[in-house]
Amino acid sequence: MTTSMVEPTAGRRVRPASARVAGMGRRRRPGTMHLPLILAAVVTAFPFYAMIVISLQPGQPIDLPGSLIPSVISYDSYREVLGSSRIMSWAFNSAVYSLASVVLVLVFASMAGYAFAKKKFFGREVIFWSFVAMLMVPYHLTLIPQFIIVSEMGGLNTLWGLTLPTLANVQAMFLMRQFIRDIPDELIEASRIDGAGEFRIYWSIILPQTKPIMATLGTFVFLWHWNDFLWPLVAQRTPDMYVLTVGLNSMQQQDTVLATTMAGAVIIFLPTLLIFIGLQRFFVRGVVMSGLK
Amino acid sequence: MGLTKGIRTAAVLIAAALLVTACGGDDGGTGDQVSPDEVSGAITFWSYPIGAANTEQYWEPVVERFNEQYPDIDVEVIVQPWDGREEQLNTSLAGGLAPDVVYFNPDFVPKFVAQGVLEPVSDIVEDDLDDFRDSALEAMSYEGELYSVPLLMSVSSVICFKNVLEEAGVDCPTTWDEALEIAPAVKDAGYYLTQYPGTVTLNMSFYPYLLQAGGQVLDENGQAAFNGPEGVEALSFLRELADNDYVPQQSLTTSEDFEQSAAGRSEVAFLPNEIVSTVMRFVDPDNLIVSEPLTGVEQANFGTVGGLSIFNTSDNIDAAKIWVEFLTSPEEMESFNRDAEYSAARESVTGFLEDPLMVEQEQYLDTIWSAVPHEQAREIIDLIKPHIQAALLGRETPEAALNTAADEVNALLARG
Repeated sequence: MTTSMVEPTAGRRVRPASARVAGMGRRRRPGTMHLPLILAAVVTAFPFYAMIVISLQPGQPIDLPGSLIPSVISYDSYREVLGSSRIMSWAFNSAVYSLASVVLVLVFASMAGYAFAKKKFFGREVIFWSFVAMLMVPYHLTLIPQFIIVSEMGGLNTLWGLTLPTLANVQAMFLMRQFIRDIPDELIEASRIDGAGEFRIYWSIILPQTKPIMATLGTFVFLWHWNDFLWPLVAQRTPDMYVLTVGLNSMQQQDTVLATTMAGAVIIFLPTLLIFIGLQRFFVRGVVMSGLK
Repeated sequence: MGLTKGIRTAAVLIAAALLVTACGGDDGGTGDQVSPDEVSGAITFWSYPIGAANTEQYWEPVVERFNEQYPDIDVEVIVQPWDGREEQLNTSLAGGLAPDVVYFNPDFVPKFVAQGVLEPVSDIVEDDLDDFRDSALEAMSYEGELYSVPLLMSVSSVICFKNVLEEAGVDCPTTWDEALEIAPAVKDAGYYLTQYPGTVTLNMSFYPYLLQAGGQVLDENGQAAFNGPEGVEALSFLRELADNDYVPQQSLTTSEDFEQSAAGRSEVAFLPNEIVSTVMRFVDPDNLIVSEPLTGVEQANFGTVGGLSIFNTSDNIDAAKIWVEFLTSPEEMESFNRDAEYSAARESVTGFLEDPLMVEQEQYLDTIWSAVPHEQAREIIDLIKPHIQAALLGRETPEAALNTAADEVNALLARG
């Protein structure tokens, strides 16, 4: 009898009694939980699948559901899209623009976020909300002044001129500030008592705490810049300085077929997918912790 | 044609003025008045992906030919994307970095003339004004002045699908009445009569029907006129097609690539207003019949013109005019249009199109209508289009839809 009392728990982790009581009656069969999630995943993934499948059927009318499993696959759309001799330089420019922006936006946004969250100075709230108010100004209104300023600085048709205006990112600063506010002040005070200076506190105490939001923001900033079209269109004056979005668009006729458009979308989408997969763990955690939509 | 006479008169006056100026020792301002040896410098030309002319490599031999005649003029050709075209031009103009020469379509001309940034170009065509098609010159003129030298043209007309006509046992329609007459038989055969692309510019959708009904978009006072009896008749005709499922419902509200549309699948009896070269990319040419433009009360067809304009912000207008004159010369115009598969804007430049369907459609070049000659033409379209869609979906009557749109357009025009 003794044996039979021990056997049921052997080799298993036993939940505390309170947890068992609290969880009593809430267990669901895996099917009831998984089915909606599987459906949601299928619905979410469908546009990406359709994008790839359509790109492999150039010139063909799309009929559902038949076209979703193509009988004949053609890579002509990809050959057309990748046919430019400048494709590598466009990809390089896009990579520099996106990666440099990610690094610098995160540095500046975290510094500003730290200052607005933890430092007390005259006019802090007014300055902060003035910055946030700028989010309400449509981007198109600032395009021409931004163009003129960069032009005066001699930054047109350069990668630094392309990147510079995008570094002061109010949205990133706002999110960093909200996240850093939740870091206990005691942590900073303890560091200060131990003799840490401001930069040391920022670098060794604040930054390590912000990894989840950094990953989330980094992913978003990368996406914003990788997919950016209008600013690179006006700032880059010669084809060799185009980014991928502009370069691929410059090859498209007015009546480009759907498959070619989709092939271009796949090529632009792949790096962002890889970035997301690489940072997925941090990204999800960051979204959960910051409530970012 | 009154406008064309105005252009000719203006050209003569300008030529006379230039002659006087040249006698006075001024350095003129046109390609014709300046010796090639005297002109030098660098110019930038913004083109767009037009047929085979979609890369800088295409333009290299063209520039080489130009430099054989004008060795001291450096030309940089940049092929820009179609998307963001207007924003890019406006930003560049505001920053003082606009190109010297740019490819324009008709609805861009009034908009940029209103900004005061376009150079008149009548002097470039003055020597062979008669060779340019009147419809092209009119399309690229505004308030009696030519602001873009026509380079290419496209023309639309009725295109019928043989497979549908044969199965329905009907003939290719060329009038609204004929179209309605064959519609039941086409529907019974399992096809659509035609399709109405509800999301594209009205220049290629509603406006041709409006013109065929004898109407116009704006009256001579610049007020909305599309809501008159002719406009109501045109929209009622389209509503009848929609209500009876003679057109696919999806195309009324959804943007479709041509190959995905009912026409791209050869499931319509005819297209009322289409460029045959576009259709031939996706449909077997042997299945197509090119017919005359559709007639309601009047016959009207859409077509577009591509021209070369010069910004007056250019530092080298003389060189810019020489480049434009070179590109629109008969030899270069033929070469470009052969590669791009468009029709030439000169009457003398013909016979280079090999496809019989394109040749057949080319005969309607002289009757094309391109755009509303107004600086807010695009904004006007944006206001009217949703009401047209609402009427076609049965949410508003044609009269109410057009009257509401007219009120909005007049308010826009009043604001300026």
